[in-house]
Amino acid sequence: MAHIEGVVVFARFDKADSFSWTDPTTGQVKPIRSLKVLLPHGDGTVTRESLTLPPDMDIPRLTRGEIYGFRCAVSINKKQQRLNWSLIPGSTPLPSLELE
Amino acid sequence: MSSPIQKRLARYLMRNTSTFAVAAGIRESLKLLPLKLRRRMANVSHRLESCALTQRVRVQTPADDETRIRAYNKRACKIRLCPQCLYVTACRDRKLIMDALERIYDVHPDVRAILLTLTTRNRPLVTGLKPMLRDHQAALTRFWKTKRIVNASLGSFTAIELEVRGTPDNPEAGIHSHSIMLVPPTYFANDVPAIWHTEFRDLWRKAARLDYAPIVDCRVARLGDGSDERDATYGAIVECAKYCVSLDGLFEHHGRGRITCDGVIAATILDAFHRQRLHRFDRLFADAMTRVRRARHPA
Repeated sequence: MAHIEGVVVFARFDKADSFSWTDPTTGQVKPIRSLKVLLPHGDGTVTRESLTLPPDMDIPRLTRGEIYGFRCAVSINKKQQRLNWSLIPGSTPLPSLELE
Repeated sequence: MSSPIQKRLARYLMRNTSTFAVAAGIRESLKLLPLKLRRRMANVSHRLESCALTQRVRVQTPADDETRIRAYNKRACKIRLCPQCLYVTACRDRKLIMDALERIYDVHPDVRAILLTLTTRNRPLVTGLKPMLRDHQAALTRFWKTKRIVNASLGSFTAIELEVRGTPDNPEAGIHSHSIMLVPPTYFANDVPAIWHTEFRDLWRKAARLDYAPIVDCRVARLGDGSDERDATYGAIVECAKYCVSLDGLFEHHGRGRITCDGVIAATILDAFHRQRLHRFDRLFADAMTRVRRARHPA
């Protein structure tokens, strides 16, 4: 039986987004797909975060406004002092957990 | 790590504290100022203080949306050393200029932009700021009227900026300007620019009547990630139309949020920048700005 390990971001799904990025070295257009989610913080504030999808992963079918758990890899942008999230390849969003 | 909203809120509070610091600095150094400046600076100090006192920030989290911070002030002082008012003015100017650029791109879709930074040597801040600003403005007028520049460009936008440099005992003024020069696509015939960096430096040296080679930076507005060149030009506007006074050198941080400001330096800057136009528009940019302003405030 497998267990879930690592970072899971529980956030409200907003929309799926796509951006055509041109690689300056090769001139090829590469689509950058991401999921936009609303992530609540401990202090009661909410920020819109972008979870980048791996290139070989399809956009999962999600309902807007629902809370899901996204398994993510995290990196830090030191210059902007912010976290970058990217979905782990092959992971499916988890249903939200209810608190009693 | 605190949330991004908390960080943004901290910046608002920092700006508010800085406004109090400028007001206190000017008030404390009134006796050191020339007589003709004292009354005006006393008034400025009072306006800054009431601006800081009436500043309000509202944090709202609408349902199904992210948290927003809204700052408002019914008694904004609009003084050039009030960090919050400077921020609001910079945002407004930036939007206006971006609208103008959008109009230019509608009519001239092939136009390209060059970012130009023109500098001269620092001068002592207290005694040399006013003449330095006057000289820089005159030099800019001569530079943009040079036949070579007029023939090569279609229009320009220039923003003059002051940076407080040197040491606290010996502060220096570093007035420089950032410009966006619009050029036709033929400017880069065979991938070679019509005016090279050395020629820009010589033209600026002659226009500013300098006996040394000034530091001049010129580059094509281009993002490293391969995005559209227009996006880079909009980004360049953000760089150019920012604060007219870089506030870093003006304040001293003593820890625990305590900030102080040298009142004599602040008063000197305010006196030098009093009723000075720090944004200049030429030809294409000037026409587009007129159209944008007319569209916003029809007669």
